[in-house]
Amino acid sequence: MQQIKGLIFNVQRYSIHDGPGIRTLVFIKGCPLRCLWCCNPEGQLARPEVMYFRNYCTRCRKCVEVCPAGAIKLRNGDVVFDKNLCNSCGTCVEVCPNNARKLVGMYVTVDDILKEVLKDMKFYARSGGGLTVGGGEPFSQHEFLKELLWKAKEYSIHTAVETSLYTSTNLISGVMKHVDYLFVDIKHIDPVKHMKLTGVSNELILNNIRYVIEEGLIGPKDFVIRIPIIPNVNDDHENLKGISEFISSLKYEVSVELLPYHELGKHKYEALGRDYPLSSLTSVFIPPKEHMIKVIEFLTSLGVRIVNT
Amino acid sequence: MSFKGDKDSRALRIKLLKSHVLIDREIDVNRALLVTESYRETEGEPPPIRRAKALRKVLSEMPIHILDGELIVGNQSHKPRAGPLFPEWQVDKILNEMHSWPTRPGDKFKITDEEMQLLRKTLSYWKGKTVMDRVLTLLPDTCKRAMKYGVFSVYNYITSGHGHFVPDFEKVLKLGLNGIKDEVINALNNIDETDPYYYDKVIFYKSLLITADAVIHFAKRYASLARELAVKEMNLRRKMELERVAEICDNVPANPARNFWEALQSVWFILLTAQIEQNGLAVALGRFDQYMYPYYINDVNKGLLDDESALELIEAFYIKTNVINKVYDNEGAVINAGPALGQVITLGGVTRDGEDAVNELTYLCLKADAEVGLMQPDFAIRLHPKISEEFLVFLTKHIAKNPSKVKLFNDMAVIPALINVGVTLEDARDYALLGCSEAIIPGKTCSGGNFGQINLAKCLELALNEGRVMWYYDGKEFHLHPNNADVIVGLPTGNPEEFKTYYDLWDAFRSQLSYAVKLLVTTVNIIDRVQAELTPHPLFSLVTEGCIESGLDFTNGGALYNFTAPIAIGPITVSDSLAAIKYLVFDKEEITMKELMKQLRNNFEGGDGEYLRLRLIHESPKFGNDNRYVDEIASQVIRAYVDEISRYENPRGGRFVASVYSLTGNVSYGWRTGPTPDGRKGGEPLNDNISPTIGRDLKGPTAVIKSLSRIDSQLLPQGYIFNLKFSPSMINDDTKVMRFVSFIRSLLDFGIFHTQFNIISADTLREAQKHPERYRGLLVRVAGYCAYFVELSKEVQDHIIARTEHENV
Ligand code: SF4
Ligand code: SF4
Repeated sequence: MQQIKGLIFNVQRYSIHDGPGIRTLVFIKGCPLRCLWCCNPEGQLARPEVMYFRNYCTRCRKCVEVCPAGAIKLRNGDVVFDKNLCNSCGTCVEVCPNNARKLVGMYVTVDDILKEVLKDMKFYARSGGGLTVGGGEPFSQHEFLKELLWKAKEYSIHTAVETSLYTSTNLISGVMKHVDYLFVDIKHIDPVKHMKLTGVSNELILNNIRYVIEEGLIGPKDFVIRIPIIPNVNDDHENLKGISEFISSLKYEVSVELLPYHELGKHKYEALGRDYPLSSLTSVFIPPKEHMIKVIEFLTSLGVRIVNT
Repeated sequence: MSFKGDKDSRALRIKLLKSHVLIDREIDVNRALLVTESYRETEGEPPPIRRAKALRKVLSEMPIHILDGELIVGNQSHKPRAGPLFPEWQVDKILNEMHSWPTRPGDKFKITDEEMQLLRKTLSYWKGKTVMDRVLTLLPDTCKRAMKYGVFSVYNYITSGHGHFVPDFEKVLKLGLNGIKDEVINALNNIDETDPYYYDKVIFYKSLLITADAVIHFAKRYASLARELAVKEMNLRRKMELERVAEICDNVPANPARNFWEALQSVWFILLTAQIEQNGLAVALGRFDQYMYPYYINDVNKGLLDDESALELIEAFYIKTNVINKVYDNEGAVINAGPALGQVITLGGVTRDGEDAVNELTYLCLKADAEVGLMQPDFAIRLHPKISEEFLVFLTKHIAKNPSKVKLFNDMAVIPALINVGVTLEDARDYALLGCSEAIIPGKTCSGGNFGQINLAKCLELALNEGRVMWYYDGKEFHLHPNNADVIVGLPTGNPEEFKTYYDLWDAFRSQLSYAVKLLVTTVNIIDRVQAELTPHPLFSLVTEGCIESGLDFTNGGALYNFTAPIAIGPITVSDSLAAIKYLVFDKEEITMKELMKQLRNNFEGGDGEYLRLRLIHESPKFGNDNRYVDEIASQVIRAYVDEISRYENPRGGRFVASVYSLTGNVSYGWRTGPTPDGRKGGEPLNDNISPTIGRDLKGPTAVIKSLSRIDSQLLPQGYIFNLKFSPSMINDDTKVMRFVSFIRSLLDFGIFHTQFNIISADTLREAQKHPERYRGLLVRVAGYCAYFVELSKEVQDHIIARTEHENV
């Protein structure tokens, strides 16, 4: 039987920040949101792409010689990559001796992934870990997601999903049947601002969060809401208050994890030939510890239960 | 009389005692002068007697001291941190190199002009008489050549005594040296006069009696000194302490220890004098929490001791171990970077009956180390499936704060490995660690640990160059294709360009390895015999089961178990290299042997060299990524070494066994090794111990562990060293402790023999490099041991920085 294929961009073993225990994290490629601070921009487009990391490149020109699309050119001794011409054939990636070119996005079957995931079974068993599917947006390939989780459960692997829940509500319960642990982001409480920051409104997301809880699709111990803290973007008291009001209106108390803004993904924009979207917002900064403590204190004073931050 | 301490007074005392040992090191000339005098006096007597008398002279005439605040007494040198010299083993390097010791790159020792003058005058006596001289006159040229070009070396046992030993502390504590003397006298009186070795045995037993008395007398000197000091002491509390010290030193090690304090003092005298006898490193403390336990619990039950006072005594004891210093010559200072002595304390594990052996003292021993935090002693924690969760949680929290002081050993790997080489089940369960990763049976073993080191990567170089060296390091400069006349050090295994399959290459490597091992064994066995003849170890023999029974010295096969365990260096560099050729040349046919050889011969310089080098790095599988292709090659490489080395016997009636670690030899052997097909350029470091090559393991620790699990650790009774890349975030808060505990359990599941951690940030290390004065106490784990970072040579420092950098991404 032909298995459906999914598009993923990474499988990361020994992941210890994405659910209980020691886990393997599968990154689904493709996402309907465009968060300005996204640190995995290579997970956004639902097709394979080539990344070019200039700092590894020794200008050996091998790639220039082989590119059938003429997407890589030499200009004054420097290598220039025109993404628009590139058809992601991967030829240049093969010849590059420095790993300066990387093809992100591979089509794989569920069995391909499971093979990788099963490698660390013994570690899951000891640590209470398992598989986490993130991305990108896992629900953007919900059929594939469902099959992956279902098969993982056949091996009794603990499963977690990291999602924005920006997806049609009627797709959720089918997937959630196979999910043991769920992470959902709330990025902003105001629909208009949410639209500005992520490209979509948050109504669907908030409704889906409520839906998941009301329908009992996940228990309170296995549900974490994550709030990215982007200074001067979404960490104002008004927003935090709005989020906490939403959270306290839910049927049970959920734990909240804060994700302080970082710029570890910045170089990937360059590698993708894109501008870093937040660089226009000069008031953004990486929150120091004291800043985070203040946010935590504020949220706690509103009755929010913060974990793991 | 009871001894009561509390937390505050303990902290004060520890601070004081630490200040005694955190000072610059210097040379102590006393021992060298006394030994020389004794040898002049005993000219013509049998060597065992000369050894015993020399030790007696040193112990009765060397300057002794008791420092302020000391509870455990006994010094190795005239200063708390000085190194004595041992001209019996080698004298030329002492005389030729001593002027450079205060300023050499690593492992510095101060020495004055007057002292040098004195040594020059006195030590000329030894010319032609040392172990080194004797070995060199006998050694075949083939062996010398192979050593010159870095195929193997035999540093430790040619420059000092055996070391690598755990005395039978349990017996000393129970019987005292007087009790052991009775056994000797009894054996002496009962030798059958017709025994063909009657003569040898009489001499041997006499050497033991002289030695036992010498050690007892040494302790009495401290008793008298303590009494003198007590009289003068104004502080009442200290006065009482000194009186107590006097009383203790009068009793032990001559007699059975009566309490915990006496037991500690007795152990210290044995460890100390064993070091003074022979200078070999890795005289270790064995299963400290086991043999000390009866004395601890007895005192506690009698109300004489509580945990606070036990801690104070243990800590004073730990600090004492730091007074032992070994002076390496310049070559040794590079190989054994940092003043490491491998004084390991083994904790935990199973009992002889297979039950969990962890007790209250196990916890106290770790707690004491957390409070002291000096370089010595080193801690080996034995783990097994029955170990309690409670202990693992405690251990994990301890590791989080003291990551570089603990190494973990896996009973499930070590015990079968020992049984496999002829140790009984119960003895195997009773193993202890010494040095880096050597598992031995305490009080019963002449381990031959680290007896020679073989450079596997050089064997590969020879396989790729028809037995000729491609690369030479003369101590200052690198030479690609040296045109010396003696460059043929291997076998003519054929032109690599004509290799038709991977197996042609493999066979060539096997042949070179086989030949190199043969040369190594030849050399090592000669040294072994010379030691037995010239430098018997009567003190070791007194405290080793088998010696008194057999009438044979420790160096002459007296111990119950006898091994010789040379270490293999660079196994992963070799495996990655073989995998690169197998994959890119023979499987994929993307590179020809001809192209590869051309670039190797040019050290990847010029033309397409750099391009090829990068392809070799990035396009073939590397060990440490849970990739069977290369992991199986690594397993075969280790297996090949085990097969070769296991064929040979040593002159002590035992066998050769394998171990795989490199200390910092991966740096110095790297200098001696030409470019390798894994993309490493000539002169660069080889892989560290059995860890993946730096920067080549890209899939995280679980993948590294799985790769490592494919190496059959049960073939390596003296172990391997595995440095686990370890980011502090792994256990920096309580919620992560349980995850780490589970991780440790996984290490056991996968049969990992040894694991240790190194997590200090690269920035800290760079700062320390710039401002050594500020980082005096900064400890890093170098190989199987810790070292003060600022005392390491620049190269080794750089290597550790590179390793750290990679760890923390
Ligand atoms: S992936 Fe193909 S088309 Fe794109 S740059 Fe590389 S070689 Fe050219
Ligand atoms: S092949 Fe790689 S290293 Fe060479 S020019 Fe292209 S990107 Fe740079």
